[in-house]
Amino acid sequence: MSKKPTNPITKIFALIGGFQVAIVCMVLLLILTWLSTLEQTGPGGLYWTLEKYFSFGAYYVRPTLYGNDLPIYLPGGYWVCAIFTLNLLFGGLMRMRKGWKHAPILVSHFSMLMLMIGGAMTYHQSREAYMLLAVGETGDSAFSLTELSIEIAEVKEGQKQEPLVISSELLAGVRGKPTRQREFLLPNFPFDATVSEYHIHNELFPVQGNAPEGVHVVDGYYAMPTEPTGAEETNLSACIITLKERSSGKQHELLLFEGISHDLTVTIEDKIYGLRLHGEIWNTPFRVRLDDSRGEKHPGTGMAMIYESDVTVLDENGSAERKFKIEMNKPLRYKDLTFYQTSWNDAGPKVESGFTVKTNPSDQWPKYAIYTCGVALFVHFIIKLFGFVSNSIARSKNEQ
Amino acid sequence: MAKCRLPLHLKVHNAIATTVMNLRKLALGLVPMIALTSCDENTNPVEVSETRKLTSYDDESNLAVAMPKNWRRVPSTRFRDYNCKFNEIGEVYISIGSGDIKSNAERWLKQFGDTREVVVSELEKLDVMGSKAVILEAEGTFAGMRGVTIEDAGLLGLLVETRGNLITVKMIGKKEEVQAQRENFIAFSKSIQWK
Repeated sequence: MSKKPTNPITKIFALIGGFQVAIVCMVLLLILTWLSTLEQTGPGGLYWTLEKYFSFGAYYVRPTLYGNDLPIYLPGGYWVCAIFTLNLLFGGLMRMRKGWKHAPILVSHFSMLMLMIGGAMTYHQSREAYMLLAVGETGDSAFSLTELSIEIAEVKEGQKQEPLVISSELLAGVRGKPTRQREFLLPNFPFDATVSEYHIHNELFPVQGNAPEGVHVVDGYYAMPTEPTGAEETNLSACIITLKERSSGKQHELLLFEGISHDLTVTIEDKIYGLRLHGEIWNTPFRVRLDDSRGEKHPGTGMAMIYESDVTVLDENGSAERKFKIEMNKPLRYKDLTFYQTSWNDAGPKVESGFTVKTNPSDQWPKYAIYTCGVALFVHFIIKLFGFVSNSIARSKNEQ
Repeated sequence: MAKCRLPLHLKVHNAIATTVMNLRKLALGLVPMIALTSCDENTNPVEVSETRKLTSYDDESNLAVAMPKNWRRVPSTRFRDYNCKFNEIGEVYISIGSGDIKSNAERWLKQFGDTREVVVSELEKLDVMGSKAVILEAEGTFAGMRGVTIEDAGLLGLLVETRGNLITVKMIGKKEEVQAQRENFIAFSKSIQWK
């Protein structure tokens, strides 16, 4: 029988690394995954369900099943994973008996730990954006469908200059919280900005006659907030941005709406500035040209059934570096970026391919972790089998 | 040490009791962690200096235009590909459409209650986008499509046929304001180019 720990720190390690915590964590993860899978098919949609169940800020979850809130609260998936990771670390790697015989189990624990850490890295470090190309077009950037930024750029002789980016991370405190506001200090410009009335989903209207009561009219337009849809990428955010000139205190108000595909402008101190609210733009480290795109749709529907694209990666000078064929489940992996084809459309004058562009430092970790775990458990099984057979033979010899 | 054999129900009871106790301890440990992470409301003033390089994504339209400094660009609409405002109610917008110069010019005049026939060859000409554009002017009470009515209004319009499209630039506002913006209007129209 193992010795009971007496040191408080050892006790804590023993508690966190215990079997009970491991079992509770795994059962909770199973329940959370099951409930979130059911819930994401409802009006919440995938994005918001993942946020609700597995985000850093989701300390606890009240599940909704078939439109009804269940009378239970569960811990958030992120935190269950965090405790499970500690459990694997303390229990698997620190408390476990060491020795060659236990090496495969130790390795399998290590691989599971690697899987969990990989998951955390994916959550915190990965970025995902979308690139849409028509055949013959070359892309050098992708844009996020869910993370919105505000960009401010000077416009000289009709030419937009390099924009300043107020990132989605900085806007997180006001996004979807219309009563809050946040001030952004912009030392590169002669003004500072305050963002307020940030609604997640809106419709934009020009004022015709009298505007509805309670709406905020800016330059003849107002945004009417509506219930966000479950598919986050289809929501159209809007906010008010107030620019305050530092020298005079004069204020300029603009209504930014995600659905506007160009900059709105304001003139301050004889310079034109363009402002825009849209998906964060991500400059890719190389350019991609879509050479050809082929696909088939489900009969009688507009939904793509299969698709594939021929692309050429171009260097900075526009010279071809490599040619790739991207197919469903066969992405292009190049220079830390992964291009998955996620849409195909032949309805327009040119065939278009949509690519989800992802950077993830731990992209291949789950694969390696599963392979390692599989091999380790196989070796463990063989050792155990060998031991069992040896013992059986020895026992039968003794009996004889 | 002798092994103590407990009945199954007591084993289960012990296991549940221990688990609940351990979870309580864990929950107590999580409370200060959660309290610490939820302190930051992300609404404090913050300095921003992050920039990004321009990309093909920034080429948002098939027209390149240089807008005067005292105008401001407002949201485009279905029939206004490049939409601007000046002063309080002044509007200037570019539309890429179809049809001919004469019928569109007559439609514009009708908004001022003027039903006379337009003779295109008699209108003032301007070189825009490599083609001969015509300029149309009107004054009076303007009755627009959105139910907007402007008394003492002025119209300064430009129509040009290029690449199979009819490009129109239309300025509407108070008569004196439109007259004051004439130079800007001409410069703006001349700056329009296909990308």
